[in-house]
Amino acid sequence: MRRKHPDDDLRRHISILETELASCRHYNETIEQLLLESASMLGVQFFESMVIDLARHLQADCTLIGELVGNPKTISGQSPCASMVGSATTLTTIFPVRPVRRL
Amino acid sequence: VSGGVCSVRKDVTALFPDDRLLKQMQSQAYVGIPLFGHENAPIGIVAAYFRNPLDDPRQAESILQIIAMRTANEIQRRRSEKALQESEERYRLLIENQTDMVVKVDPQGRILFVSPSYCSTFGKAESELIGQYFMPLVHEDDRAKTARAMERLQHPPYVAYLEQRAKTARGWRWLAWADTAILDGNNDISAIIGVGRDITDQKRAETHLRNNLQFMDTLLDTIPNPVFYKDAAGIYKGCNKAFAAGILGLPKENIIGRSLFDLGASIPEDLARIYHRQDLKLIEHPGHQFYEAEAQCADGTRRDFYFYKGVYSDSMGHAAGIVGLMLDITDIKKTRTELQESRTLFAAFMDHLPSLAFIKDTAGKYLYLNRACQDYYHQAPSERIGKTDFELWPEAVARQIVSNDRQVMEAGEVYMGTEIVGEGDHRQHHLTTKFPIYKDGRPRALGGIALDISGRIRAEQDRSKLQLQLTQAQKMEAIGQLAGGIAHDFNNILSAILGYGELAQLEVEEHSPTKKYLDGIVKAGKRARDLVQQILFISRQEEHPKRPLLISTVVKEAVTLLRASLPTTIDIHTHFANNLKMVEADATQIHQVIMNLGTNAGHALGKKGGRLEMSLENAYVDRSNAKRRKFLDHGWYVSLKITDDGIGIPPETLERIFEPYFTTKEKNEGTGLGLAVVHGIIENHGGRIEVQSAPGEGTTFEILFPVVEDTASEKIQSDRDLLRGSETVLIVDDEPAIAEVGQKMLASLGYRVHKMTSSAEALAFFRSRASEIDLVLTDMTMPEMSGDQLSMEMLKIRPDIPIVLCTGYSRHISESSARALGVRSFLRKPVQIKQLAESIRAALDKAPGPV
Repeated sequence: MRRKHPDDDLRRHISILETELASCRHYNETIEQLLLESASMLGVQFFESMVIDLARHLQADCTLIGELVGNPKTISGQSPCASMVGSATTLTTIFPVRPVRRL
Repeated sequence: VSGGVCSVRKDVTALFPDDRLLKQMQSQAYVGIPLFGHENAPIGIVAAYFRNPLDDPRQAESILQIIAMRTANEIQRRRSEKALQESEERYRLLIENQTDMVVKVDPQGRILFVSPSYCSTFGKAESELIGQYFMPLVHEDDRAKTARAMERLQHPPYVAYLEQRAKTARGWRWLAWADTAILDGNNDISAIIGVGRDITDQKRAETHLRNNLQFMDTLLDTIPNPVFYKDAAGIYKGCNKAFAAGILGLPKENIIGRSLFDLGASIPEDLARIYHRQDLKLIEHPGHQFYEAEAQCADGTRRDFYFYKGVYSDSMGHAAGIVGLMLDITDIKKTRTELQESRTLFAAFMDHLPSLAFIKDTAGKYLYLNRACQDYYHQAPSERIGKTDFELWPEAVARQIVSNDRQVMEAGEVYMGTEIVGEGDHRQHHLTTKFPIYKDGRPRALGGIALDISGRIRAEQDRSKLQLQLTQAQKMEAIGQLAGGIAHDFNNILSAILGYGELAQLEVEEHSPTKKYLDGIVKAGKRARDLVQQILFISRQEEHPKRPLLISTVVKEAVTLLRASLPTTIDIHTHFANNLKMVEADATQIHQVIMNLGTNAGHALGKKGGRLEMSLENAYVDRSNAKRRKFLDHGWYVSLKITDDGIGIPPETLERIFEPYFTTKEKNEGTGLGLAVVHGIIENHGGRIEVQSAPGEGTTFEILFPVVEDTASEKIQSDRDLLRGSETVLIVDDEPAIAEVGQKMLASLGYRVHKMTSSAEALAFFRSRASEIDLVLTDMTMPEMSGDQLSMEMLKIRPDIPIVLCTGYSRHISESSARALGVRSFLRKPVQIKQLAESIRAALDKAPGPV
């Protein structure tokens, strides 16, 4: 059995650090990109861009930005929703807001 | 959303089977972050859906949280933007649609912005106005004050209000502007915004209102009564001069804005409390209020006022205050008190006035009656007041009264006269004074005072009757004296004629022709004697005592006389029942009754003539019949009926025929006393006279005389044989023929007779031979000594001497007075032998003393 080399832990540790660093860098880059990409945008353009960029950066199949409107409060479908293909589409569905069990 | 971050690594659809989006996306994993706005209020969500399970959702959660802040800001911003847009829209709509004008100018007055209403007001397009100075649009006279307003905007509070005339599309109009200065960061004026409004109509309304207020002020000041008005809190809002100067003694401006309790000595506290209490009542119960209270006037005196108050309302109908008017009733109260005192005095005076006092209005309706009037008519005031005389009296009476009233009211003169009120037996004579009562120079009522003089009238009538009766009596007395004197002479003559005639009859053969001549002489003499007797009946004034009488003898005698006086066209029929009962009567008066009724019947029959019947019968009046015939006792009566078939008597006359002085005959044809005397005589005899008559059906008078059952005192001499004697008789008469006739008559009856023609000689003869004389027959009227004097002297000599007094007529002595002297018998000339024989015999046979 191969004796564990002291450098192995270090290497692994470095590797983990590098991975975390890369992840962190990716995270930062993602945040930065997201903020930069949407910085100059307002309104509908912001939301359309944001959902697309979020879906892309999070590798999500769908992202949603919803707004509470009305009384009783509902999630307004007027906010755009991004699909995986990267195109924004308008949801027509209204989401009734109800208490959600915290997972 | 409210639960914070939600992160599900796998099987999220199973966890939320009802979530359609999860199902649609076929999601396995889910990460959701709530979005929070101000004050941490949730405003939305940002979420990511994964079709594959997530190994580590933390990065996604972290990224979403970072993004969430930005996203939340964006949502907030969008909301703000939207709100702003909505606000701007509303502002735009406000500006565009409001009628008020909005203008924005720079500090120099150049127009920067105008609202559509500004454009339409001035009739210009926005482009024509922007960049132009506004001042040329302002009326030249208002530019200076506009400039001053712009100047004021340079200083705090940087606002100004301005009214100016401006040349608009509708001409010169009044515009009101509220200007506000807009300051920059250095507090310098960057612009001025003015909001304006066309107030021309308002100005006109204000002018109109001002004029109205001026008018109201003038009107209020013109009202002499104090007037005031105050708000619901009791604060004076206005008043007139009479209130300010007359009551409070203060200028208006010192009153307005103050309450009752703020006016010091002008309204003493006790009065203020009264007014305040009344105000509170009125405000609590809005409407009108009237009350009497004192008020202190400006000169410090307290006077009585009547307060009229009412609540006025605002445009919403709520009680806004009180308006009041005061009426000074001090003088009215004083007058009222004086009037009351006057009325009391008037009533006291009138109620103690024994006369009937009344007042009527111009329509003749009674307004007032004094107590005497009420008592007199037995009526309460309410039964007469308000009624006219036509409602109270028969029409004829009312017409007379109203005619007098009208004369008073129309001529304005006092009426004094007698008014007759009532009817029938209730007629009353009122000595009435009526006078107009003036008010404002015109007769407004009629006053009257009446005195019932019916009693006086009746007394005067009675006095007149008595006067007439006295005159009549005096006349009759004079006639009687005349007739008596004539009768005396006639009787003396007739005594001689009858005496000698009867003596001659005794001496001639029964069947000789001379006997017939003598019978004719005696018969004619008897008729002459009867006529003289009737004349004496009428004129006789001496007392006629009642005595039992066969009334048929009087009727026969009267019929004889009537026959002589009535036309031959009148047939007189008599019917006397057998066995007539005696009545107690004065023959003379009964004779007068028959003569009066017979004469009236003759008048009723007139020249045409007709039938006159006189009947006598006994009549029994039973109880029921007596009751029907008032004042008549039941029992036997002798009924005398005198019936004619003349013209009859109408009913209205029939009612009055027994009234004294009532006559249907022409003046000087009748005295009107005939039937009255008849009535009086019948009443005096306890009898009853009744009459039945109708026009064209003749007339029947029925007289009932009560009978006397004891007829012993009345003996009817049926013995036709002459009573004779042998005693000595002294006969005294100044007429030699009479003395001789008497001597011969007595001698023929068997008496011894001494004849004397001088009363003095006769007395001397009697004195010398008193014991030889058995009876003295003396005349009454003699020159030396009258018969009664002679009798008295003889009775002194011999008190038991029977004396028969004989007279033709003498008003100096009656039968009763002669008997009172002691005379045994009384004979009337001419004396027939039969009467002489009976009287002499009776005087001699009766016991001494008056018979």
